[in-house]
Amino acid sequence: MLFNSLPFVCYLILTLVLFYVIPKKAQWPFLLVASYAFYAIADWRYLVFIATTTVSVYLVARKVEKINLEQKEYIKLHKSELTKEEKQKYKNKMKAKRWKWLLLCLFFNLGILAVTKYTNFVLHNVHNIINDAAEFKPVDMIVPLGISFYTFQSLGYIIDVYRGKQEAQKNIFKFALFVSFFPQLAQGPISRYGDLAPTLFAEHRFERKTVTSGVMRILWGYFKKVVIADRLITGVTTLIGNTDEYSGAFVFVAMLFYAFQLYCDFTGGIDITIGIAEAMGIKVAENFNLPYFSKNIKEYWNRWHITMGTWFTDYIFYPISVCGPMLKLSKWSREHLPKGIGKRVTVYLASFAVWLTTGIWHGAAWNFIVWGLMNFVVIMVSQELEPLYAKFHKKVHIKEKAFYGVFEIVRTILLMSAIRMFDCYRDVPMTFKMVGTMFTDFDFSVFTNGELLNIGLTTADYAILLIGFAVVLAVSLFKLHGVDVRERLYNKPFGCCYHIMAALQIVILVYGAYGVGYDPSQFIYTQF
Amino acid sequence: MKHRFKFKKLAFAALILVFWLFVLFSVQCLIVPKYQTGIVEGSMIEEYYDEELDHEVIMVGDCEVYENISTIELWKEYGITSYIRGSAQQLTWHSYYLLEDTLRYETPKVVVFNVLALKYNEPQSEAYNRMTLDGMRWSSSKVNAIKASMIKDSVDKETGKVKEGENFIDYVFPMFRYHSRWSELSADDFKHIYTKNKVTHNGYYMRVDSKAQEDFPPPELLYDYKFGDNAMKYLQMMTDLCKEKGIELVLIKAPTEEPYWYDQWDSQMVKFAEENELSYINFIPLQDEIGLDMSVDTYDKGLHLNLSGAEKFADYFGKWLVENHDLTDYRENPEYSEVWQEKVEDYEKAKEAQFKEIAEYGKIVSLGPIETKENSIVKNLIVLAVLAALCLTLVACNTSSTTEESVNSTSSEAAQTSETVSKNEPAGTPVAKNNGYVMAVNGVNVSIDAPMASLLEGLGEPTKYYESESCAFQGLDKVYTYGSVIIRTYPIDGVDYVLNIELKDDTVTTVEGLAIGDAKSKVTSLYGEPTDSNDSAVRYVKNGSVLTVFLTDGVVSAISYSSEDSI
Amino acid sequence: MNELLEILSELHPDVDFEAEENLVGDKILDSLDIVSLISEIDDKFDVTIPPEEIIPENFNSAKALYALICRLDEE
Repeated sequence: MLFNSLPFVCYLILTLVLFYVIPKKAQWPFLLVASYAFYAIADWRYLVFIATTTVSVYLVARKVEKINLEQKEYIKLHKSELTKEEKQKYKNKMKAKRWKWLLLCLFFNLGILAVTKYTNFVLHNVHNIINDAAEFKPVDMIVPLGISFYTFQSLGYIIDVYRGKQEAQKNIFKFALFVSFFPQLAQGPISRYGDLAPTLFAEHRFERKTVTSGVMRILWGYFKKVVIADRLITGVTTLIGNTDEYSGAFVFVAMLFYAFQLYCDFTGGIDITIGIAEAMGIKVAENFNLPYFSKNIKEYWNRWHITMGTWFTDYIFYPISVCGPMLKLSKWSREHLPKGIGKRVTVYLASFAVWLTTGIWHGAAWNFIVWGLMNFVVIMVSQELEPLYAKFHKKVHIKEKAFYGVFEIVRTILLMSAIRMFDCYRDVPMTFKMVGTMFTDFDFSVFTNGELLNIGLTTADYAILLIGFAVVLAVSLFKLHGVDVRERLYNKPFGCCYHIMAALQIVILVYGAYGVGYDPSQFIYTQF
Repeated sequence: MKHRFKFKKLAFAALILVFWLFVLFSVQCLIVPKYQTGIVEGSMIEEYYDEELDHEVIMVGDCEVYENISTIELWKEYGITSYIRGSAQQLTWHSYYLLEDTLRYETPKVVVFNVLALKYNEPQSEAYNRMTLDGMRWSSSKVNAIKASMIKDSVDKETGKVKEGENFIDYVFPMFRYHSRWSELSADDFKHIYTKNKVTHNGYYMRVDSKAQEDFPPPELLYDYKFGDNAMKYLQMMTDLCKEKGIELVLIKAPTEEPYWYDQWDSQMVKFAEENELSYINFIPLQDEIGLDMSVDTYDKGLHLNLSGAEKFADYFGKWLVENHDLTDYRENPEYSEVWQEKVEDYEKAKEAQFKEIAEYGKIVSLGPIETKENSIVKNLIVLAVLAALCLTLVACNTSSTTEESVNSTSSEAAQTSETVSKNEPAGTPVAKNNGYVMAVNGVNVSIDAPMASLLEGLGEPTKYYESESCAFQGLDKVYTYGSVIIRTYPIDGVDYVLNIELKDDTVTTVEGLAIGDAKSKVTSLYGEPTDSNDSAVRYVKNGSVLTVFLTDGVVSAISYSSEDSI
Repeated sequence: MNELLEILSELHPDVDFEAEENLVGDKILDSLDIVSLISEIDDKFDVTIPPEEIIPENFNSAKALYALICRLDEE
């Protein structure tokens, strides 16, 4: 069931109504049933995968916690008898024990992920190296819906338990709900156990304000998704699909359209997810914070797909950069390399690892890996050039001007969109070639000669897109200035927010790009 | 006090809900096609429910009833009260359920069914489903009719892509299906948001213009002439239903010759009528007796009758009905004659208006409704105001496209409307079946589903060329004859594709070397074991194309190439 | 403590680390800074800060960071 399909909408309404009708004690078990049903409707075989991950992570978490407690107990008991060295030795022994369990759990679950998602990628590459004459026949694999998301979410939990930051959940059903909570199953966000659990298992009374606000967010998500993103995708696929015909300025158009489309698709989907949770009184972590208002790429990645970014920072970047060998390397490089770079060499190595995994995480293809590494290169280069920038700004004093901020924002959007072309064309050499034509073969007449009306979008579609863009921009600007639009609407008299919701719903029904004649496009992020 | 406050709040919430439900309903009314000008067939079914009095004769069927029989003439001549529940390409199951629906309101003495629709055994097109079904009132009959009619999901054999069929929910909430019409809304959509004008006279669709019948192309050879089981099932159900209700069922084949009515089909009908003790009349051989002059009595080269033809046919058929069935002459009944007098007046007015347009423009321009009821302008204005906010932004681009349309001539307007109907149809562009059986004609390889335009130049001037408007306004079906080879095409989105190829005599041979007159043994030696065979033909299927070899007395009598989809 | 402040001001000479109470929240220290900080601390104090201790609360002020170092040193 895709978010933008009628069955899902019906399923959602039914779930929401039942959620408040049933006894409050039964709310979280009901959600578990609803989540597993959701998964089973997609494909019952998926259940095997998610259940395996759930059980394995649950058991290991309990085991690791037991070792933790054992250790605490032991130290408490023998506090007076133990010397500092003995204590340390004992601690290390226990840590090694925990580490073994953790490693087992990580390898097992990442193994499932790797086998389901990357088998064909590996086989294809091996095949190309050995024998490129014969045609490659991919192995038929089931890739469970949202496997990357729930695997990462579970692994985050087990690492937290290992680190002693998180108590292990004793009720396996509660834990199963944490892993499978249906609104976020398909495309995230990747929730932390500590963030989600308190409201997920709590009892929720029907409160008009929470429900209204949640439903408003759902509708807003659908507006972005169905009216804008699904409409734009026709144009994007036409432009991307015919590389012979659409080069030069068209690449530029495709780049911007894709940026807008991806934004509306992904944030719209997340709005629906968070809105559903909110309508049930459950708090899911925000995944976006106005990413297109970022002044540089580093900032952009702090604002776009936030839960993924922090996951990589906490569970890959820090562990790698502060592990023993890295600290040694850091010491060496600071002594032997020039001052600036010497300090940052370990950071860059860790970043490299993060961006490589980010790329692989997005998809089993070279273009995603290159895309990830391009992000790394840009961040590294801009970091290294910072002293130069600083010097430049000191002289020119351009930084204080108002338009400079706008310039930085536009620059970041363009840069990010350009890097994203790897994700568009899905072919590394082709992307380089097409982006190249943007500079060699830019023809301004495509904006005036009506050719943009031949890519599957009519004048009326452009009108809708323009209005949609204006509305999205306006709402974003409100948010930028700290205004909570939904809160404000809720407080207006005469049921103002209900009128707006009803109108928005009609707008979605009429102007949505759904049904016959439109491909019910999958949420772009569902495949990751 | 608190109690009252709560009540007030609830009442306010209810008010908001009702208001927005009304807006939602209005938007839906606005967005669905109105079928008031151009293609009016979509308006026909719902008009029945406005009838005040009962009818003794109910006719069900496709354009062969609603364009060929004048109900008003039946009244004027014989005092027969009749109604035609027909719409474009109304298939047998549509007719069955419409009859079932009609019997909820009245029990006529006679039901007439036109049998041409039996040639279709499967749902054909979403557009025609909608035109027939959308007008029905909700009842179990409508639900069953929709279920029987929906186009199913299908898998394209070439690409492996799933072509999505129709969804039941789209009939319940037409907005889901039609919402993309928002950019094509015309003045008609606003004008007829709640009220529609009548387009028929008791189900009869009037056309007074005239275009003489010409030669029809040779009829296509069929592999199997037996009517499909599904179609026959519904005919049987219709027969049983009439029996159960004590209604006499009359099967007719209207006097028009195209689409071709095969003898094999006729004999099946004769047999069916005998078995079920029904009357079956094929009126084609009776053209002279009816007095039809196909050079004047048709408006589209013989496909359908015009007013004079429909009146002649009504005179003849009415006489038969009165003679063979116990019908009442209602002209003496004041209650009926008052109502029917009004109908007659409308009929005369509409006739006059059409003749006037022909005199003025040389053709019928409006093809619109019979303006009998005044629209409540005030009511519509209120609704318009409500919707204005929603549509404000789009009015600009819509008005410009509407004016552009209205400049166009009637025919292209009709084409445009039909485009609207069929545009979103889940049909892709066909892919030429180059890997299937291919016929070499004048040195050009012709494959099934190839675009005809690319072949025309190589093929040269055809010996004979026919074109006929397909009954279903989808454009022109064309037939090209090159000596003894016949190529038929069908249109999709204005492009003609090869439908089938037929070889009729021994001047040509197939690429593989088979010719008319060869023995049956040569067929198997050239093509191997057939995929399929019956008494009069063998059939081979290869990559979506079908080669059919027709045999008479063990000798090849004709050869045809067609698409697997048409099996 | 002074040694720590020295390391910090070397990273960002323009920040008053004695007064700042929300270094991470205000985005004065980013992940790159934190990593260089940890390696410097490892160097100068011979204290290894493990990944699980990398949480905003420990890095939001020089005081908190110093407390962390002392705690880890004791263990």
